[in-house]
Amino acid sequence: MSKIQASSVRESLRGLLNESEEKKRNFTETVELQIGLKNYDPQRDKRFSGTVRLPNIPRPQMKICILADAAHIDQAKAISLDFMSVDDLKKLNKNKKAIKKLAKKYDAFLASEALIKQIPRLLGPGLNKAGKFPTPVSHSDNLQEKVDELKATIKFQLKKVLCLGVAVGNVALNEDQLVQNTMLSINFLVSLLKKNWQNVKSLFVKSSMGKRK
Amino acid sequence: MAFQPFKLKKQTPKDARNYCLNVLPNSTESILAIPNSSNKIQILNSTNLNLISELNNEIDLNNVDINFQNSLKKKKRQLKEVLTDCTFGGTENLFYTCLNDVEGTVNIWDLRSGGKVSVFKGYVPLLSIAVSCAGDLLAAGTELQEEDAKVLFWDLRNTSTKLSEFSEAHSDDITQVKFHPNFKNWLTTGSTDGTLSIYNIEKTFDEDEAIFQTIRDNSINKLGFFGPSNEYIFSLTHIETLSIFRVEDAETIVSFGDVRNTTKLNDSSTAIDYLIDCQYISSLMRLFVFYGTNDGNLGILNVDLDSLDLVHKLKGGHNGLVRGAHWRRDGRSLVSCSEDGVVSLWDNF
Repeated sequence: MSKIQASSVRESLRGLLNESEEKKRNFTETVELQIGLKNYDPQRDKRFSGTVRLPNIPRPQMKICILADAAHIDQAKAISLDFMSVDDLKKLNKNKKAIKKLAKKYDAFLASEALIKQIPRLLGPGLNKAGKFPTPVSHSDNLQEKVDELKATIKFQLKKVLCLGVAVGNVALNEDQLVQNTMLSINFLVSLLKKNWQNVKSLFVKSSMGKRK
Repeated sequence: MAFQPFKLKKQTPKDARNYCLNVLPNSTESILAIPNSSNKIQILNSTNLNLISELNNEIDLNNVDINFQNSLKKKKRQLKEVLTDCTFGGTENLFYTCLNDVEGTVNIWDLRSGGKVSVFKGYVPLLSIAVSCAGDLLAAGTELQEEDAKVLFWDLRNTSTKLSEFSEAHSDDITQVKFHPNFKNWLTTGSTDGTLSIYNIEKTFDEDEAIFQTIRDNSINKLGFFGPSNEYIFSLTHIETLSIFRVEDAETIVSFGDVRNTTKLNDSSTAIDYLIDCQYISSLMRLFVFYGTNDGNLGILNVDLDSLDLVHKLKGGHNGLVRGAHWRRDGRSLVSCSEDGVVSLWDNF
């Protein structure tokens, strides 16, 4: 494939939004970018895996909790972010079931820098196993920005098949925002491929219930 | 620092079907092991690249456990094993390889005879392998299977059974496992789940107790201990970031972010397309990172606390991505290998 134009991405996304508007679902549909690769061997080429931060939050509903020290507890309260103190964590008493439950309750965790190193002692590897080990926050960070950053960061990973999908947005975003997110994702992913656009076989956008565009 | 430029001195013949994946020196740097995508390891003389021996990791289908032949049919997964990692370790003559076949094969080779001396089975596809500095313990990281990505341990003095395993620290493929070069009980593991973990197994194999710290990074490509007493860990990720952490308190010393964007080379004609690996040169007390370009060139950057600075560019050695490099510790020669199947020897004297 040769380099894609923002105008054709815009056209596809417009169609997707119209279709979603015509047939309203009782949930906010996710917009997924699907990339098919070619001339790429997952067994011996470099792995295609990581995260990318988008300009507009694709998943605003994401539930986040901060494992917080005293200063962060105050900040969390101010922006009504769920938090747990060291004492709360101690109360879990390394109970595997309770930790698993905690991990399930949230999509992602933040943790105060001072506290993050106590996590193995307090919780053992329970959050690791759930793939939800926290992202550190320092006191100089703006907590709301950190929350937004976490919500705006999406994961991608190519396994043993030559296609992958990434959630780049939802139908509540406007056309411009979706175009921004999609273009940034495409350009970032393509930059990681050794033959760049020559490794791309196909690109589609799709809403949860809609057709591929 | 002033370095003489490198000149290409010798190359092995091109073999485009066969990626060369890494350059691993033994402790005296007399020989180099070059794993390739045909599941073979070429053992080369490091000064002239002459082939000393070849270790073949192909699996003999007739020897596969009958139960696994059946489960293979069920899963319709072909027995297309791939050599995923290898390492020197323990005594000078031994070499260890692991495969991502369903049987999770570890082969142990004697380099004097070129023959296999032992085979372990982890029964989970393996991606990474390491041997402790005392040569008594072998660890292997697995692919994610069902819910588990594990680190398996074998006692090399008593090879019959698996010693222990960890299964909690990661939620996805374990791409790297490394033992500390000085302290035999410390190891680090890295995963595509975006974290690395540090363990101390001196007292226990109980994972809850043994896990020392976890650090959030990104999908881990390469990890290694380095420093005057190996007190630091470098981490390269699949989105081309480089970070350095301190072992004793898991503190982040520096994070360079996406090196392709954050590092401006003083020469605008070269771009960094990806990072290959890091190497610490103890006589200089410096860490270097090798980078590659999509057209087959490589370069070396000096890693400082606040910047990455170009030290060398090595052009014209390869027509495919450079996947491995080793800089001889005296600084006078370098060996690189690439997806075009070529191993190149460079010198600068």
